[in-house]
Amino acid sequence: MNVVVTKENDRTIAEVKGRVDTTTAPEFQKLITDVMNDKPKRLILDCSQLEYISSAGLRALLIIAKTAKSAGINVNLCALTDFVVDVLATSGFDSFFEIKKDKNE
Amino acid sequence: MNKKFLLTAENIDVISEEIASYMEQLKIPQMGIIRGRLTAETLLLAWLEKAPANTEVTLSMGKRFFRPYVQLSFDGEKIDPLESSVDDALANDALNYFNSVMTNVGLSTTYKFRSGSNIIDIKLPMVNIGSMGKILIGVLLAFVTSYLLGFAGADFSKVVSTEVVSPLFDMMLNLLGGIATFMIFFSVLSGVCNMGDIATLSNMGLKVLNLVLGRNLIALVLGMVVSAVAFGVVELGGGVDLSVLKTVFRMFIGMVPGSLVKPFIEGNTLQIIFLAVMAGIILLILDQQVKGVIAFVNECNTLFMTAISYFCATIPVIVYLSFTNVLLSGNLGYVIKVWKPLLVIAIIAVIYIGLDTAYTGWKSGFGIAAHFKNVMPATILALSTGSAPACIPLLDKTCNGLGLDKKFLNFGLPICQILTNTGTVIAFAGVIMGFSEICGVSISIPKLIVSGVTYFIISIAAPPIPGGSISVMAILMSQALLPEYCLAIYIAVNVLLDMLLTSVNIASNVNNLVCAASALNMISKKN
Repeated sequence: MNVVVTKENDRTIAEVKGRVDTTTAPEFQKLITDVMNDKPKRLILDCSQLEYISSAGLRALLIIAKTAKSAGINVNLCALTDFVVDVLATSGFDSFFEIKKDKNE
Repeated sequence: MNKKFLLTAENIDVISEEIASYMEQLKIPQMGIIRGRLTAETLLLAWLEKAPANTEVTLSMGKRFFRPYVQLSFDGEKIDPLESSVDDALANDALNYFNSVMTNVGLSTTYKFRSGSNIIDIKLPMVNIGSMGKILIGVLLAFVTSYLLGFAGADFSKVVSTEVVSPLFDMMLNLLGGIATFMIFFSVLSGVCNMGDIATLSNMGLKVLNLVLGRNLIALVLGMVVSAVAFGVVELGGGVDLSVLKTVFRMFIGMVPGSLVKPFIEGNTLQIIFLAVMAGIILLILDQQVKGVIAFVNECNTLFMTAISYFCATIPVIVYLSFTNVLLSGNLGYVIKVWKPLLVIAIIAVIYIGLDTAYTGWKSGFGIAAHFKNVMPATILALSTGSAPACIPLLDKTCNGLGLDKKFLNFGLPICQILTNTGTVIAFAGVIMGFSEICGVSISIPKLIVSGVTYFIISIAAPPIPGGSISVMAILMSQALLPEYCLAIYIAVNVLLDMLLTSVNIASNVNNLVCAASALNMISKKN
């Protein structure tokens, strides 16, 4: 799992690559929390290369959503693969985030 | 199969992969696999937080009474993964997460502590036998039922048919029709008021109308030409009675409803579509001033579409009741009397669907063979139920899968559903000319032309309400000067004929939608 962070004007894009599973979820959560410590106005998680997300990954996303909400940061998920869309829908977690088709939306 | 793993973060992922492989072997669909994995991962995560280090978990997978299961267990002190036992905000936060996932995923899970072992059983989703498989089971059960009831005698079978099976079948169709009525209204309304502007609406509407009516005309000409050749009832001389056109004209005018409520009570989908289009245009013009109303309409659209898709899980029951009714009613004997019209109609239907589907597959770029595969599921469902509303969720799923734009489908699907009558016009031509041959009645060329015009208009203008097809056939048979007993025979074989013409209408519907969406550039991907 790898996260590439790019800052653009008033938004920060974190491109998540690989798998966010039980092994990598803690590292993913820490990386995104570190990005949020810079207090970006808007944080976009680009999931176009996110191959798999497990229950641990969902839990990390939930913690990220809660942290972002209390810090007043707007977090969007974008470019989700069909598999990740299905996982979010099945778990009911699609309502925690605003989901966009791509990072330019 | 039993495997042991040390309970670690890495091994939770390994166990999840093992479960996924097992479920793939059982051909459980993707959503079922996701549910199984999420459940196992969540429970193991909960155990990982509470169990001592170096805990060894045993993974067992198999089937109990044909239902696949996964069992996770370890020996030691009792640890219920989903039980709150500490005053620890962080732990309870985690517990809330676990419970939330388990509730949403919804798989049946049991925990027990027995003889020093913590055991979790997860019942995996059933293997999906597929909608075609379920329909086949419905048909087979119908044959078995009628065979078994045959031992009780023909009279008893007929009583079961009229007093039990037929009312149950009507009840299911009425319920389906009731939901479909509102689904069609809100789908068209939502489609129209989200169109963006009147110009787009009229462009889309005209393209759809031209396409649908054009194809109805082609099917009519094919049906009439083949029937004329097959039955040999057309003669050069003779006059024509134009009085039936008065009735047809009145029927055409009758598309406009006289009341806002009556169409819903009668289930007249043509009038309901008229109301939806009119209301949609008003909302489209008012746009931002009625944002709340449009949002409500969209929510209702989702609600009724979901309701009908859930109801259609009962399709195998409808198929069973439909076929049992046909087999027990004793009307199959009439099929022998009218075997030739039924056979000719079936041949014309196959020719038309074949040519239409091949052309659509070629024109759309899907490929001919691939497009036949696209069209077949809905066609077979229509053939086995004889019910167009029952096919709506599958049509929606098929068209979504083909990449047709949702905005187009909301508007186009119900309209094409009602106006596509290729099977109906073929049946009109085949029934009238076929019965004319049986009764020794000939048809003049002028009469043939007037009949053609009548079939075309009536197929669109006839009220799509229960019993509507029989009253329409009564008009057509009277126009053709056929004796009264012909209507009785038609009623007897109407169910079988309905299955056939509905399958043609539904296949044509898919093709019409694909062609219209293609012409409007509202297909996002190719197969």
